[in-house]
Amino acid sequence: MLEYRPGNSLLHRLNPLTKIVVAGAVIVCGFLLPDFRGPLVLLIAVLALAAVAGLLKRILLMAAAVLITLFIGVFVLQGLFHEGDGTALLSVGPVTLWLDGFQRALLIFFRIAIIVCAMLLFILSTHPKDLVIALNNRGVSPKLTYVLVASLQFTPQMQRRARAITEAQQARGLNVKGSWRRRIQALITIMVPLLVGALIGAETRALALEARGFSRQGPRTYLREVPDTTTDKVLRWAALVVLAGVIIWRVITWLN
Amino acid sequence: MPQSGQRHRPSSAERSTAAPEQPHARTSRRSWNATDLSLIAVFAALTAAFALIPAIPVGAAGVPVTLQTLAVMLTGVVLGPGRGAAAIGLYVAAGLAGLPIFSGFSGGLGVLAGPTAGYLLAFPLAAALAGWLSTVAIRRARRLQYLLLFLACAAGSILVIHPLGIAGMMLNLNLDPGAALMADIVFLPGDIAKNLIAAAVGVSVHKAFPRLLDR
Repeated sequence: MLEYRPGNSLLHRLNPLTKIVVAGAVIVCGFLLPDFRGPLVLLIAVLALAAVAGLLKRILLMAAAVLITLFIGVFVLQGLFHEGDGTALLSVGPVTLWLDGFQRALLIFFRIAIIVCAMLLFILSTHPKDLVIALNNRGVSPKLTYVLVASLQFTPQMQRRARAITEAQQARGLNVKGSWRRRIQALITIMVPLLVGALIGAETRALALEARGFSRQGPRTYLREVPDTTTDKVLRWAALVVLAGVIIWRVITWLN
Repeated sequence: MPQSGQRHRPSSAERSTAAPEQPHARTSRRSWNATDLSLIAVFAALTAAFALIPAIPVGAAGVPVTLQTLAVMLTGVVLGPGRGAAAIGLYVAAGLAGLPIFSGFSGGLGVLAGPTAGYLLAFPLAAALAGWLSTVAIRRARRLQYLLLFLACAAGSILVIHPLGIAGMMLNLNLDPGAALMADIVFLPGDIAKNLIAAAVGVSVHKAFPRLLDR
């Protein structure tokens, strides 16, 4: 589900670190801006970027799945129960939608929508290998990046394996329903092969890694190139400057 | 199974020559090799996979019953304290960083403000405690290993997970100690069952890979 979509847009070609920095700055700005219009503009900008990368439809579908319950919850809670200064936006029978609550709901919703959309855009437009290499180029230990990316890739694999083992044991007559005792025994008959398989798999992977010189010290080269262009540097610094500006502005308004 | 053969135990001479070459290697007495790292990754993934199995929402505070705690205990029992805590720590860190791998597909720093915060932060410590106790048990005891592993898991859950979980609910939900204890106590029977499973699986796994904790 959360998989890289190949493409050749500007976004795909950017250095993964640039994308992380910009996404982080956008998310933090969304939380710093006091009014719902600021986050709305940021959200539109994120979606425009998604459109440029050709990922708009996919991101909207995935974000909708996550956000729809939040949307309803926030609007019911804030819109109907937060009166604020008592200005009504809409009144239908006994139900009143308050202006203040409605605006607050919009603010909360846009902030969370920015997080979801920016993260999705980053994940869908970044090849995991590029992320690993970009981090390694920055001096992050290859061991750490390996563990991070490997555990992400193993998770769906583990789920499939658990399902397969359960079905295999059921085909041999395992009963997963019934008394507590039965269920505990059933879980054990599923867990043992799952863990033994995982341990053997870990060992196989370790051998494959060592055969490629994983533990070797010294400089490394990579088959894939992840360039850090001037565009990347400019974008990173611009994002940080804008973020610093927003922070300073908020501190000043807060002090006044 | 070359899970931890001689090559994992560098002689002191090897260690002293290797140390100056790796300035940013771990400062502990040995650094993890590819096998250890693969094991950590696999068990972090296992924990995530278990946490995502649909949960039974139990308890007034909305903390779900999942196989997550089973995976935490198993990781400790199978990998020992260091690697176990690293695997669970990796899982918790990845979840807090925003990946939807906590129970109910939640994730992100917002979880820290929710009812499950105490439990999540307790997991790496619990894996370390259960791992340390079971390492001692596997190495020293020839008999009653099942019982000892169960006690190791029970220590992890009763001494670490439940107190920190209760503290988390008291802080985040403004519950008084009694109410938090009542909200927590419903998980105890399930936890005992999960600890029994973890101990049984742990005994089988250590029988199959006798040198897993040999380091």
